[in-house]
Amino acid sequence: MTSIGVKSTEVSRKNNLTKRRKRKTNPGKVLAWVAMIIVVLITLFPFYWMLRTALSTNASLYAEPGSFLPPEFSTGGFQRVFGTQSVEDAVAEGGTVTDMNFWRYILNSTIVATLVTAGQLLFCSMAAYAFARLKFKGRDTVFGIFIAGLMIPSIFTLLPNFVLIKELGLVDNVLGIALPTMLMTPFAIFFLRQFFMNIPREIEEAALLDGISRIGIFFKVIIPMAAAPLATLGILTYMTAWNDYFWPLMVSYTDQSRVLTVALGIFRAQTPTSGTDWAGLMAATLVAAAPMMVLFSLFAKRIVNSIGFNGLK
Amino acid sequence: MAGIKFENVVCQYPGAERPSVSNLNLDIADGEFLVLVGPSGCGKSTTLRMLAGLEDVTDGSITIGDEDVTYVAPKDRDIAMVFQNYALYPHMTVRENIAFSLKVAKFPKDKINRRVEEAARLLDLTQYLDRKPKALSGGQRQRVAMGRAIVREPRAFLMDEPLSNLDAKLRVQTRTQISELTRQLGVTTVYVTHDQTEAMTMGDRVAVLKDGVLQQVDTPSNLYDHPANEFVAGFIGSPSMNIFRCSVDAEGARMGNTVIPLSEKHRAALSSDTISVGVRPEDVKIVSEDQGFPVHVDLVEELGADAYVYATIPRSVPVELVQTSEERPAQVILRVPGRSDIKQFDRLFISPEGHAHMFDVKTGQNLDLL
Repeated sequence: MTSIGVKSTEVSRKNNLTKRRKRKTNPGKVLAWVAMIIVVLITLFPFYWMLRTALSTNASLYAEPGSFLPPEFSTGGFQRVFGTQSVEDAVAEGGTVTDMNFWRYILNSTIVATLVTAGQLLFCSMAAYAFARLKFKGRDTVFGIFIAGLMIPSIFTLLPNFVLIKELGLVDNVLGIALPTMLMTPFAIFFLRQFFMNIPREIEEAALLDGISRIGIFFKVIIPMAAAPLATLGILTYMTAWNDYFWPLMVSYTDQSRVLTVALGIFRAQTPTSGTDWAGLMAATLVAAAPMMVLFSLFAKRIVNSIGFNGLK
Repeated sequence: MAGIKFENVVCQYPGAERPSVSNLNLDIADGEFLVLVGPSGCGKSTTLRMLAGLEDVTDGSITIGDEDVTYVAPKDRDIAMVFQNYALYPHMTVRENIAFSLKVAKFPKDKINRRVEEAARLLDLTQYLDRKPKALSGGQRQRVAMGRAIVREPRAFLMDEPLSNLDAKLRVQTRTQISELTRQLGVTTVYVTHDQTEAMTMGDRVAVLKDGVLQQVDTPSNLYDHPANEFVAGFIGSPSMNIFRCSVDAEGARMGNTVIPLSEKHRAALSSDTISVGVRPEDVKIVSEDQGFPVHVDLVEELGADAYVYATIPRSVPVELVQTSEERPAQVILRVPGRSDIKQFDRLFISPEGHAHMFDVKTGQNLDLL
């Protein structure tokens, strides 16, 4: 009994030692944490500065440009964005006095991003499946041409696309904004093809024996299995479409098709005599960026996991 | 339930030099458990896939029951297949996996539920019905794959190496379960494996294939006792049969000081003056120095009740050993009682006693069966 008691004390001492050793801080780890915190601060600072500027009055911004807190707190910037501030108040705060219909722009942006995302997911997944699984003559050559498309800078396709959209009579129309990227992008096809190639062929053969058609296999077996990469692609596409500036700027002229990014540029240009309405501009930018920030923070982990292609195993 | 018939079936992939399966004729009786066995690349999986409709038949015909299914779509053949990697749908629960084919066939819900529950009970899967495949162990996934097959009540089960992803212990256990289950259900089963032990223990009959050509179809004991040729003799049995090559003189096949007499029939069938003599490890006996021929012991493998002695024949002895497997060096194997005093580097004299199989050197055919 005594010896057992001694042993157990020794064991507990050892455990304590290991615990203490574990708790002991590792300088490398501390350094890594400090570095990460610095990176996070650098990344988040612009967003904080936007918020701080948006919540100030324009006049106070010039008086105390270095203040970390809003020099003179005001929600006027946000009110101007949503069109709830009177003209007198706007002039008094040095804000843009213009009729900006931000709700309309948000709606347009949502329509465009949704069209692009839904279209790309449907068409690219079908094309990717064909490239990954179906056997047809010239398949790899066609795929090579698609992939070569990745190397063409988007600025090169701007003019041909514009001519096409104009010929189709879709200038100043949300469909015209969405159409060039709605059908496919080489990246989306490449991304999904890699995933489909990793799906064991036997699963499709089992489905074939279970009695579903080829098209049924695609929609009932392959697509549900690819939910993770499709979600990732969907989020990435949605964000890209939401943030796109140059193409919508070229094809939208009126509020009917104007998206948020273009509207922000116009908001900045329509400045009163006193100078740029920084508070209003930052408020608008925050409003424009908020949906994407929410989307990314909710799905960030999923995106990283899926890009690592470990969806199946 | 139905019998299966292969008639002159050929499968040749476009661009391939020789067919993967050539002129296969095979008759599988209703309710029979037939095992297709052979080394990798022998065409056994291709044969099964042709039967499933997943591979095109180049020539010949396949019949299930009375129906010619050579060009029938897989879904219309009324067969169920268990794949090597199980091919479970990862996004569906066990219940959905098992029920999938019935759902596609638009069975009424209560019938689907009844059949799924029944299959789950039979395979001891009831408590896992609401889990996804990734939350199951290898053995459980294997059972789900079985469940998916039996729930359809098909005319035939096709199994493509369904045990090869399991560990050794579970494999033996599952082997017995599959045998029992298929016999209980009485459904014709075609089972592909490269493991001859699996083939011998499970099959009512075993079909041995090599390079796309059917070598022999018979019961496991007949394959063991009367192999049709040198390949079957070397492939079936563990450890495999020793095949010696020696000269033939007026007295018979000469193996050192032992002479195996040859009948007139044997002599007439021989195409040269050498012969292959196949002797199972249990039929090789240790004899005194004036009999048989000498060998050097390389290794003694103690298994408890028995021991296997692995030995090489010295170059001076005019008996050559045929290498039956590329993975194994040409060594004579003999079975001796366990805890024997034979040690490495010993010199022994051995001689075939009991059954010796005679094969023609050129054709490899068993001379007894000609």
